Amino acid sequence: MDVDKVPELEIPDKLSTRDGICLAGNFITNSKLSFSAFRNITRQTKDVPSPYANKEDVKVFHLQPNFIFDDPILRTLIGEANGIFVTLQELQKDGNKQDYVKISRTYRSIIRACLEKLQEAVDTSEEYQNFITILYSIECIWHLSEILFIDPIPSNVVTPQLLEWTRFHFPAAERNATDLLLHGRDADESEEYWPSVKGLILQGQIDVARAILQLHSMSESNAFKMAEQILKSMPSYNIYGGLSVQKFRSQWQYWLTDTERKLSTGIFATEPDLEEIIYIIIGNTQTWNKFIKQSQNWYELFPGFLFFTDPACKSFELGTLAQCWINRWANIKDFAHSNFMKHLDKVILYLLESDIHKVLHSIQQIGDNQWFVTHLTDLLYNCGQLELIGENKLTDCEDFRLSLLFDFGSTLMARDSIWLLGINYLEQCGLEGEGAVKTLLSRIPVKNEKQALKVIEIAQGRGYIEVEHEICKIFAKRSMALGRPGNALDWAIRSKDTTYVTSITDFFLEHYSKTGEMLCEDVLSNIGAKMFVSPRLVFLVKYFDFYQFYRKKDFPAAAELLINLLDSKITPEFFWPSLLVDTIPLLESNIPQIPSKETAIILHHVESDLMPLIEKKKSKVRDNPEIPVEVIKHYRIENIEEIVKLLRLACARNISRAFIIENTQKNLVAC
Amino acid sequence: MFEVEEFRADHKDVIHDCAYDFYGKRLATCSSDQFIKVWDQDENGKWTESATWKAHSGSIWRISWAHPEFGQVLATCSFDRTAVVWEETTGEKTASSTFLPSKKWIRRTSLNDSRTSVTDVKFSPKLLGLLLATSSIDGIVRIYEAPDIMNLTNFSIQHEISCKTSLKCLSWNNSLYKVHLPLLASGSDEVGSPTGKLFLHEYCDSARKWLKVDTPMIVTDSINDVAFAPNIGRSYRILAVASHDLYILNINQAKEPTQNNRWDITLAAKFSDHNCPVWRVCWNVTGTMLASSGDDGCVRIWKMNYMKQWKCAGVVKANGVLSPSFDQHPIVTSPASTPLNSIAKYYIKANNSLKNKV
Repeated sequence: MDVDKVPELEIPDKLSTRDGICLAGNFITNSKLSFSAFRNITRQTKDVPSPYANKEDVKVFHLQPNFIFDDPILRTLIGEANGIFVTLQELQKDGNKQDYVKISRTYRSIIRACLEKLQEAVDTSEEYQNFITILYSIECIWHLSEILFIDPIPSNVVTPQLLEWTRFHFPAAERNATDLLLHGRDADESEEYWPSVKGLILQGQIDVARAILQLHSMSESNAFKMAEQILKSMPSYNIYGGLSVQKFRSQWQYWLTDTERKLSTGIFATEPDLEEIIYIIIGNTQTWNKFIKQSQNWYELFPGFLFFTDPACKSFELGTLAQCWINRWANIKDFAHSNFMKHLDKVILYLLESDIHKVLHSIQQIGDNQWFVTHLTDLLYNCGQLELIGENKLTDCEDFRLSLLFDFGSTLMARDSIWLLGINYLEQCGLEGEGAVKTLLSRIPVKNEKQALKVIEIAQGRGYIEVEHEICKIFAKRSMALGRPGNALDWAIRSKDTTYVTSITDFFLEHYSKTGEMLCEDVLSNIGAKMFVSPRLVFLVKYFDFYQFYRKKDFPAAAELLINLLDSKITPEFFWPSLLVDTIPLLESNIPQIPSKETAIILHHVESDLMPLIEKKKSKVRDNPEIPVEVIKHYRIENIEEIVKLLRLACARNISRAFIIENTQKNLVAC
Repeated sequence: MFEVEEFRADHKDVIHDCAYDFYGKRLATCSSDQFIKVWDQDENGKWTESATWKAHSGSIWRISWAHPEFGQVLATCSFDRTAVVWEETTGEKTASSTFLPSKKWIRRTSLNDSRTSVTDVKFSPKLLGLLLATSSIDGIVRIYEAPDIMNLTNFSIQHEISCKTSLKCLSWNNSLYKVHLPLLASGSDEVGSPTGKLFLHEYCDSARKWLKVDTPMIVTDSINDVAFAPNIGRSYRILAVASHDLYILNINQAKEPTQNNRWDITLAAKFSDHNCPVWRVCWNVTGTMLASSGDDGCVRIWKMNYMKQWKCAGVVKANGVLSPSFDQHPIVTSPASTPLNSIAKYYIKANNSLKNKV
């Protein structure tokens, strides 16, 4: 087997080849790399420009694997395959053979459909010929794998299936036969007549060949009659025929002797083509060698040869038989060295040898971004064939499948347009797969909120709460940077992260106390029960309610709410001045709004919260005289000392007024 | 096949560090020319310079992006003995809304605690909040915290971890899961003495301190770079160490922890393929592939196969003359061999070695 060579790539960067400079690589995303020139520094390095400063171009290189599924035709293939893959997983390794055969055929049918679409469009893109080659190999290998591993015949007699496989992949003879049959009598006028009949015979299609022979203008001659009789009497091995192999062999031997005797009579001397056909079916070496010389691929005639020489061979004998056949084939074709086997040729040999590891290894080299190897391995694993064929332990097979699913899923998730498909593969891969989905999902480069909502929807549907929260926080921060605090608050609330909500709420409160403007009122009035994510937000929403009452001149409600806020213990320190200033108009209003007890509360907060805050700010100003700090910055406050005086006075005035009212009211009740 | 794309970075001297943002759509570069440049990828995939500014008064060694939850934030460290936090801000919207608001990078804070060149700077995993770690030649790892995520002018020093020998690099253990305790690895490029050059510290919640875990004697050559693999679901952590050779260490919580030994540190792989010192190590985002850059001028890509063995999956070299060419593996089916399939090759290699054992 070939020694695997590690692939090497060269990058055209002059600077990196200079003395003391080398190349450094960085990952950009999961499979994209970046390279640039690099100079190592040590602790002794002096900070001077390098000898190449200002002389050489400093370049950055980005490198990423080609991805063939961006093409619209192949996109359908990957999408449909994904659907089949999901169905297959739903069977949970518990389906019967028919289920798996059906799935295998569905996979093959989408490949076929894709091939046909590519064929139609082959003139539109140079790449399509390449895709056709890739998909054709895949189809051919898949079909043979299906025959040998997914849908094996119980008795291991595989020749009929192998014949079917050659017919499918070398359809020329069959196609011509149809034309000839349609042509009717005197079909032998066509130049294609004899090549087609021989082609059919070589593929073991005796019945069709007989029908076409009947159409020959000389079909009533003795030679044709004799040929018909030989073909008709040819024993065929059929496991359901009830014939034992020994019995069949003796029958065959009898028929063979008889046929050879008939040949020797020279009855076919007038019809050399007919004679050649008889030589084919008795396995005449010279005749077969002639057809070998004309054949393109080693496996083209192999099943037919088996059909005429060893039709009862078992699948486990195929490896040896194929090897013998290849030696003969190479000899006749004059291939002196061993390089005549192309990639597909080798894979087919490995398949016949039942060497599944070599098969899976080889098909990883098909340039299909691992689509084929992933899906085939997964199917073999699911129908229980992977561990049966291999010599490895069961866990190794599982690990192998998982590593393929993981890589394929990660590759898809890193693509802008089809990341959604990747999730299905990764979710089969346990904790690490789930981790990869979370990691890659949050890294999908969302350009706008609509895209973000789409990703969030997917994350929610699969219960990846942390991904949802992460995206929300990113958008909260983005919205803040774009000067859209209302939007930011919405995202932050959705992220359920108290720190973010509190920070953004503070922005609202600070903005209000600096400017007197309440931001994004529509957002604030719609928060409702979601406010409980952060006490600070509760404060903001309640303060906003107060602000509304006050604006609507509903002073009793406003006053009650304000007192509640003062006493709520959730007032942020910086907001005390603002909140207390708000009490002044209510204290000073013509109609008394605040009773004596509540007035005492206001006074208490002036002394125990506002005064210490002022002291703190003042000492800060004293400690850092060079930094200009305003003691209190507030749109309604120019001189804080004045305000404090005003507050105390207002409280005193209101308390005396309230006392009078309250006491007179009591007296009235007492009377 | 690969798609190769190149652009001129326009720095006047060699780039010391390239950092890509969370999405891989922005690139920040820093150089000996004392400039930072930020590049953005546009809709068509083209990279264009969106900002450039002189950031330090010495060579800028490393650059690091904060998680986008904290905004567009960069940190740099320099020969000028400082580490600086930068934030991109959006200017006020102009009255004529035809123009997008202008963006500008602003120096938020300058961290001047080191009296020596600051050699590495890294933002913490986001689970820990907005923390920033620096390493410097004075042998101290410093950890700073921004208590208010909306106000980055306020980074305060939280911890100083002294390693007593000149430090070159550091790395946070980045895990998706909160149960994984924070770990910090730092490496020294001191030459000569055959002492342990790798330092591992863990954060102890109860003591609110970073405690030394170990100085494994596995690596005694001077260390140029360290990098924890992002952990998306493994029970253990993987640390790549660029030293005279490339080391890959598995770090696991000990099954039977004792007072002094709570971690099992084992050597998963050691590669001398570069035949020269290894300068840098970098992981992909799922922690499944590692790129190592060595003095031999090669960048090697490493991948763990399904048998949990590390294998080289590709080599990239610079060539001053040639145009890009891929030294093709002889594949006849199709010329379009992707690196992913070449990377996957050693699956079978491992298979063969297994068969030989059987």
